[in-house]
Amino acid sequence: MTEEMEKNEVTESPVTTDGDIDTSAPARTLWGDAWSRLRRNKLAIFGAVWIVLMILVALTADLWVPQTLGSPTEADSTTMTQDSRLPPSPEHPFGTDTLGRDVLCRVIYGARISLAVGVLATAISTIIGLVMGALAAYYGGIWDTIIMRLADIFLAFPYILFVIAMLAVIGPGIQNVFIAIGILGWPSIARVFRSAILSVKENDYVDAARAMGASDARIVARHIFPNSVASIVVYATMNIGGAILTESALSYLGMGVVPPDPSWGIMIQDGQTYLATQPWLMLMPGLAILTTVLAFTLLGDGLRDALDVKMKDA
Amino acid sequence: MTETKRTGEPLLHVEHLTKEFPVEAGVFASRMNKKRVHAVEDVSFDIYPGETFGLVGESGCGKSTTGRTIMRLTNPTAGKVIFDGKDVAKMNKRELKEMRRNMQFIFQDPYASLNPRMTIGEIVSEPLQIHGVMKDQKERIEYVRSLLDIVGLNPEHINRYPHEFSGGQRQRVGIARAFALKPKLIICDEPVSALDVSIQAQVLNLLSDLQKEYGTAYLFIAHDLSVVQHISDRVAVMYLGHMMEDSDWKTLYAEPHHPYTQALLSAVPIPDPDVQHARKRIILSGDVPSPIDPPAGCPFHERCPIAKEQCSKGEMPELREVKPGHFCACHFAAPNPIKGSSVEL
Amino acid sequence: MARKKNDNWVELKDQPVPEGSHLLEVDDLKMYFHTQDGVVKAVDGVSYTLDRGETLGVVGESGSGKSVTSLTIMGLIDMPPGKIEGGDVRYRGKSLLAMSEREMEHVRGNDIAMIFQDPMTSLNPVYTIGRQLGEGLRLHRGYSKEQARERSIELLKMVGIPNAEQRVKDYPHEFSGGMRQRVMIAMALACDPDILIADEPTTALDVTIQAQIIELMKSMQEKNGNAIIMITHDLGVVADVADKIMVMYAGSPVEFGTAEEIFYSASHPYTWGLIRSIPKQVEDKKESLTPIKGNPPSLVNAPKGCSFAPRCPYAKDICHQKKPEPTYVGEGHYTKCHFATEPGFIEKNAPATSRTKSAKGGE
Repeated sequence: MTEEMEKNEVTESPVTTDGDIDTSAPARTLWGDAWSRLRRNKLAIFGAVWIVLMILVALTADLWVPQTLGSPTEADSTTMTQDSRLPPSPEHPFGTDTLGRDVLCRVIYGARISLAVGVLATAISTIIGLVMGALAAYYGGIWDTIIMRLADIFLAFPYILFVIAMLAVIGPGIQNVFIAIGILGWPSIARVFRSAILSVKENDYVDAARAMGASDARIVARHIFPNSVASIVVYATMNIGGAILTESALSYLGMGVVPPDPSWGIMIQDGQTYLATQPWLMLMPGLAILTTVLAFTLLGDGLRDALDVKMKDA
Repeated sequence: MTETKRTGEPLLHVEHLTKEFPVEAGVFASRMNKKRVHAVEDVSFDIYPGETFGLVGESGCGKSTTGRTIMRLTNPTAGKVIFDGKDVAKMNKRELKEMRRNMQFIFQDPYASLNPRMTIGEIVSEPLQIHGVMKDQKERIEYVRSLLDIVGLNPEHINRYPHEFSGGQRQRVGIARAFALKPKLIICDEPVSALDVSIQAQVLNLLSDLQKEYGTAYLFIAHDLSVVQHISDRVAVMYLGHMMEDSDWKTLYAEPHHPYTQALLSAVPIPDPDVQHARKRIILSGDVPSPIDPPAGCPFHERCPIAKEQCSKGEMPELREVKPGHFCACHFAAPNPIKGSSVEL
Repeated sequence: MARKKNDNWVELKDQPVPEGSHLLEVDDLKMYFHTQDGVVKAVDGVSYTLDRGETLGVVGESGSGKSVTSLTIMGLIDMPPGKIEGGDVRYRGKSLLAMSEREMEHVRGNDIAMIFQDPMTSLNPVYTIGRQLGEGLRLHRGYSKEQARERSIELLKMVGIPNAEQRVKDYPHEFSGGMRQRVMIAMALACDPDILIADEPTTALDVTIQAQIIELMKSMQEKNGNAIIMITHDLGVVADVADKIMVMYAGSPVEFGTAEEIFYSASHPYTWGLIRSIPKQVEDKKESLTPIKGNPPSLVNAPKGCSFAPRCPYAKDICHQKKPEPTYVGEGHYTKCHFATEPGFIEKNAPATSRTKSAKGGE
């Protein structure tokens, strides 16, 4: 009897028996499918939630942080000595730094800089990379050779040294950090986009469009771009984490954000002297970098699986 | 019946079509490396309105390249492709677009030939949009729905994506797309070889029905001789880029004049043990030679059981008319030329 | 013969087949995959027997479980997600499912060998042909390097590869597709196995090369007396080589019998459908094909009754309600159809064969 009931349940499932598509289920869109796949990936969702949380906190910081935790940049000379390097407490959850400023407050304002650098620098590299990659892949021949050799030259230099050299020329400061990281980041994006386009171009549906009489512009817009953009979304997401890391490294080396602006890199540099005695000074910004970069990587990884049409779920 | 169709002007006239590729692609390759793949060599044939012309051969024989060159998905190296009175090889962009209204393509791989980011409605209506037919959206959607219905798909699925369909259903989408503009000629490049037997039969029947309805001509490219036999009015056999034999289907299968055709037919196992065990088979030795360095003389002479000295010398034997409407490129063309092992049926 | 050192394993191949049993007996084998989306009944009640010198043809469309069945027999399915849900596989009277992985390693290649569809990917590109051929011999037979090389040359000659002494030193990419499949056959036969499982061995090859490979397999079988399991979607290939045929649909055999029985007195509507779907060889008039309607079922949430019922033109209520049990319509010839024994059902609906036609013509 129980067996009979089980079988009944089975036949009532939405998959019809002749392998046909069930008409009663709502039509699924591709992005909807991707979202439902992403939702099942717990790590990616954790990353996404973390990023959204960071962005919210960073955006709303002006509204509540200075009022509760004090200024992120300015030190109060009257209370500086007694507030210097206090351990974490309910009043100062992450403790305070040498100048008596609240570490949590500085980490939050640091997030603003880090996220801004990550997103903007990646945006700059992505735009340059997309154009270069598309030119190389679509026109091929001499264009391909020139652009890809140029990319190879860029990639042949140690990236961080290249950025430092550029900053040495244009000077430090937050805007220049955007520009340096952004401009020097294009070659890898161009390469990813170029190979994505080349592999999409191999597909019969591109030939099918040509056989229909579609123009080059239509083929690029309707067929090649929508199918290669997923890899760029994934790559750019992961790249944001990388840019954040680069900014921290630059600030740590004193080439990036100028004090008293609170960058995570600067905070680590400030705190390293007290690693043995007041570890939170270095630990807290370090954790912030770790979790943020990790969150972007996890999300990127999840997006890669979710956007892959071939990984269709039954 | 097949003969009566072949009157008047041919819809497609292919003359001395040749296509070569450089062996390596790249900026310097073409100049430094003189080696070329001889994919299609001096191929000529005619397709008349409403008929199905089958092109068979083993992998690498150039049958697909022939189809792609006719469609001008790749440019021919030499030769003429006259479609509807105009040379496809010489068309400019605008003429090419106009030509593609009347010549469509069905691809082998039902997975790769549909854009995964477009709904099947968008896919089927794309040729209409490109050619500015049915500008009214409502009318277009109605038409696309009717097309889906004709090819045996549920019109309600118009907003679904290709990955939700099985291989056979996707191939139906490809067929609906090819028929959307009611073209005069459709080049079918192995349209059923990726499908299971039972689905293959469905698609073949659909193609036949649509042909009856719209009078479309097919260039049907396949490696499966029984499928080609079933659907074609005329069949041509290719080997290493060359046309070996070209005849109406009945004669070609009953009385092949080229030893290669005969061997090919005898190699196909027949799904009937009595017949299969009773007949004597011709097993060709060796492999198909490389198209980069094809043998001199007849390209088949190295594997041919009846090759004589003259076959390995000079040029490829001319494709000559051995009987009215039956062409064969062999010095020793005769009915079932390999003796003592005719294909018994 | 050199034997693998400190191996007290009794060579299974040398054991006699127990009285009353067969070389290979597959008995109601069930293997399900437990996936996120549900249980996939990939192998659902497969039974057959096989003796030396026999060829079993396993026919079915993609997803019918024809390949998975053999992989299950060989113990090559990852468990989980796969799980044996019932049945047994006995080779010379010994259960393969009960064997340890170490014992199975010895059986694979030595007693039962396998060749695959794609000769391009089944050979390792970084080793020479000779080394790959010799590997099994050195592993299973404890051959020295020299012995293995000599035997490799011998094997290559046997499968018709010209200039074998030189070609053992070549790498796979220097061989054509047909030649690679010959190497695969040589490799599979290296240890003189009892059973050769060939999974679509000619699907990736051209017809003229396919004919060569089939002839080769037949002649090797004549010489060695091994059994062959030929898995294919091509009824022509089965007609050519098979003694027995198992027709599979949705993970389970729908009909099993001798080649004669399957081709000339088939009794399952799916078998009929397959036969009707194939374009016929030269006839005066072309008849349109009779395809099977619909699409193959999903193996998750399979229908409750007969798995073919949704596509079957003769299906009645009972077919949707109840799974048919094997019905014997002849000795060793079973069919899973409720109506197989109904008088007149087969006579009325079975497709005409060359035999029925000639019988009619003779009258």
